[in-house]
Amino acid sequence: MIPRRTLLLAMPALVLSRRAAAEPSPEERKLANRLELWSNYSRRTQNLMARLGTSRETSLLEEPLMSTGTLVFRAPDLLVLREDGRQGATTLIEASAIRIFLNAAGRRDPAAIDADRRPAARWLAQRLLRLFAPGDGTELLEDTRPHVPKGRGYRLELLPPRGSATRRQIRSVTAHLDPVAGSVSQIVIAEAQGDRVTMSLSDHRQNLPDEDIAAFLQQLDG
Amino acid sequence: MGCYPPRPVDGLPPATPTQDPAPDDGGRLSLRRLARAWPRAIVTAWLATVVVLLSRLIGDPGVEISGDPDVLLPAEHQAPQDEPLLLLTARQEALDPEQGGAGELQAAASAVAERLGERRASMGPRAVELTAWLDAHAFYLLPVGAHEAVAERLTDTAMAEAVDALKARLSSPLFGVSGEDPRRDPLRLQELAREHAGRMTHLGDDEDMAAELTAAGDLLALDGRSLLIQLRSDEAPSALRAELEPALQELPVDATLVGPGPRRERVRETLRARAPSLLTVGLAGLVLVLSLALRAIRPVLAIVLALLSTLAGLLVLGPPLDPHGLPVLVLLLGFGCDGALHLTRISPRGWPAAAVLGTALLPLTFSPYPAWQGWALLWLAGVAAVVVLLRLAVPAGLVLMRFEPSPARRGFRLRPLRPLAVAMAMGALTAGAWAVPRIAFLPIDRTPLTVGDDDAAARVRESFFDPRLIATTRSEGGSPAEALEHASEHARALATLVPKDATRVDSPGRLVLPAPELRSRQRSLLELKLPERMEALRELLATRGFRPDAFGEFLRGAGDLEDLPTPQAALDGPLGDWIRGYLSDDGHSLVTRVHLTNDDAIIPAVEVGGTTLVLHGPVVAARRDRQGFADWLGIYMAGQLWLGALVIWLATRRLATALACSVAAFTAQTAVLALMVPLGLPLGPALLPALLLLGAAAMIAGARACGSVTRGERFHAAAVLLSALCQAAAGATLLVSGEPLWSTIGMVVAIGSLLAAGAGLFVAPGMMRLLGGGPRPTPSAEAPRAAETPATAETPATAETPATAETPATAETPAPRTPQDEP
Repeated sequence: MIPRRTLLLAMPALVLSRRAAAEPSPEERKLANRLELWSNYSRRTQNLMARLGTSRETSLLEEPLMSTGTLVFRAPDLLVLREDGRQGATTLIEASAIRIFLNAAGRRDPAAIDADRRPAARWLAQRLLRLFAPGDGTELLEDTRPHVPKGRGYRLELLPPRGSATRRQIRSVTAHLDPVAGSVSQIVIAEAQGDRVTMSLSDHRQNLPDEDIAAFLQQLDG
Repeated sequence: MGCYPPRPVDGLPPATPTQDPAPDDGGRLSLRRLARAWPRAIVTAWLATVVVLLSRLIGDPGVEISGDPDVLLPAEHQAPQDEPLLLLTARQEALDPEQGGAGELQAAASAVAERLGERRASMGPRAVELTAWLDAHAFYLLPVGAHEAVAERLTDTAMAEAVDALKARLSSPLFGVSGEDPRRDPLRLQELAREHAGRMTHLGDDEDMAAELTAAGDLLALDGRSLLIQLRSDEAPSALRAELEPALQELPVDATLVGPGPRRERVRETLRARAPSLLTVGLAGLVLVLSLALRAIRPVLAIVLALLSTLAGLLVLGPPLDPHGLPVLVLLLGFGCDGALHLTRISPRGWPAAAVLGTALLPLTFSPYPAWQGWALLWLAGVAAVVVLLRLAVPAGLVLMRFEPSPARRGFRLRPLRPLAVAMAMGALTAGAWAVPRIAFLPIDRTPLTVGDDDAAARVRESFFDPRLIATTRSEGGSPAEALEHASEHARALATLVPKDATRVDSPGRLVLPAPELRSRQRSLLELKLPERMEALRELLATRGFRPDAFGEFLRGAGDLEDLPTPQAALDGPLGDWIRGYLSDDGHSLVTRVHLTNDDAIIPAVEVGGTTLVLHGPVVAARRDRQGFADWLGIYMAGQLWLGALVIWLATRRLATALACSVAAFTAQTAVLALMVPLGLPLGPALLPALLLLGAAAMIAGARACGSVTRGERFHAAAVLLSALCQAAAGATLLVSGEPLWSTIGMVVAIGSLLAAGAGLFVAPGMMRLLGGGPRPTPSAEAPRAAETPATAETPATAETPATAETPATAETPAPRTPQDEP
């Protein structure tokens, strides 16, 4: 049996050693810092509208494809990326559907692409959706390998699990956070075949009246 | 209650084995008389036979156990035994929690391929080679019916719209993972192929399968944690495992063989471990029931020895043991006891009960289930052996053991209640009619194993595909090219099953075209002026900011119509090795595999050139069973009822009795079916013998009750109940076995045997009376019976029941004693 005196003397040491063991690593600290910054903004988000500038670098095109549009998020699980103009395309991410359709044809476009049965598409859609959804980061990091890249800026990199089929199509999704507000200011998607998509967000308007969001969503029907 | 000649009761003359010759046995063969005449010789012969059988059982070769769970599948529907799957699973503890094991799995697959050589088969062609073939012949692989739509998409306006739409979609961040492949199909022409011809041939990498084909031709689960390899080997699974072990021991993966062969091996091990205990428990249950009823050691011992002898005989001389045969053996122990317990006889000579029981499974001779075809006759032989032993060897043994039987019970007068009989029969029939469409069906493999035993097979179903749902058909030809050409026609016809009845048609025939079809498509494609259209597309792409060279494969393949997708070209090309994996050894037959959606509905007939394609496989048999099982069950039951009624009519010459017994049997069977719904018991071919035996049990009980009423004798219900208890004991043995299949059979038998006794006692006599049957009116008919079973002073004749024997001293086992019987 340990003598009472010895035990009482050892208690502070035990507590200190446990505290030292629970001390997070620098990498974990940086990740927690990014998540805290991100959640400062996202936890208040019921809906969000922002201007969107998209750039795709691909070997299919002579020059990068540039476009502008609007991003709309409505909690808990609706994300719309709509290119300006009737010749553009809209990407609609819902709880159970991922569709890409032409603005002119509307969401009922028979030539629309349904990608919800593609695992890589589901993974990417969920990452995009959760980047704007309120939460503490648990859902955002689910099924990913998070990484905080070195260098300037507040960035959070989400990588697909190693060895998964998603990994063979997507290299990474990197979110740039506003250092003050914590809002997502840029998303960079690196595809495995070499394409690179950059989505720049500006003019964030958080928690608009529901009518404004509904009016925007009405446009999707063409 | 049947017994060896019981002691006299209240002044009746003593009846011992030697003092009880049946008066009408003279001149005819009587087992009982033989037993009394030469007891020593009979027992010696019996024991000698037992010694021989035991020496075979204990020594070499012992009990042969096949363990084949597919014995209910017709041979043509059995999955090939020489095509096992090897499932490699990355060990969790060896991996980082957030990391898949694709690298380790592919290294293990490579080691397996190196070790097994040609015994490892590719599940699909190499992606590069398949893609090159599809690109080179993209337009030929579109059906002629789609050419009109193709022509519309190749107009200047349509092409401009398609290219603009492509550019618009490119701005979506999800475009790269949407499945669209603009380099190979910028105009989305393959949509037309998918719409008209179903999915392409290669496995994996598609929406209905959570796996992708590796470069080596194996399937890798999308989570990167398991990999599936196709093997072609007729070696025993244990030998394959032993061969693979050294190759995989350094790697953090687990290897499990999946398929009919490995499953058979697992079931064989289960049987080897559980059969002795199951049979021992079954015999122990019977000993308990018989001991409680007979309260005498010697007859119980003799009966159990007789049952053991029969069991040993069937194990030595019968077919190898399988998971469906073992329950039948247990049931033979329980139902065979009826041969020893027959106080109230159906006819004076005592053979009808054995005949009804022995012929119970004969209708299954005409069933499509190989195991039941064999057991139809084997059961007859088994019952015959049990009955002969119980009526010849057991009495002889009891004579040598100087066994003094106890007196029989007094019995009671059975009064047929017509309203009760009609109400019970109608109630059971109505409940049965209600239940049949609602009863769940046994799973597709008919032999469900204990949960956990087949985890690997479940993982294959979850992560890759369900091998049980694969149906196959063969395309014949004089040469490999001809067989492939026919397979091409068949595969395109089978593609009409997609998506309603099938998810994919796996055949290299999907990649080639028969010569007449090729000529037709070539003519049609020439009209599309593809070289000119492709040149226009190239210019259009350039003007819209695209790099035309990025679409080079499509543009080149579409512009070259001279490269034809003929069977010979495919066999001679890089896909040849993979295609030969589908050919039979002589090269004259090529297999097409159709992945069906489920085993629910019947497969629509697919015709090619006026000939219906015949599909084989467990799923085809399961669908056929599911579709018509209720009808066929009715036919087998009707056959068994007819045979039983014929036997009873031959024994009693009373049509009313025969019909009443049939009604009682049908009542018991439909009541069991009705109870299966609330109890959640599934129905299927595995339960056919149990249902037919319950019908036979009810018929025997009913015939005994009717015989008692007809002859005006006192009825010994305890005998019927004891017989039912023995059957229920066999059922209970199976019920507690823990194996899902055996438990289901056990539950049905345990409940059904009691229902059968009830139907026999309450339905048969009432129905007989309703149908005009009853006590025999003429004294001339009474005389022989009176001689056989002497009347007693205690049983005064009444108007309804003429004077009868108090204690028919004809049975061959002691009766259970009542308190009044005690000295």
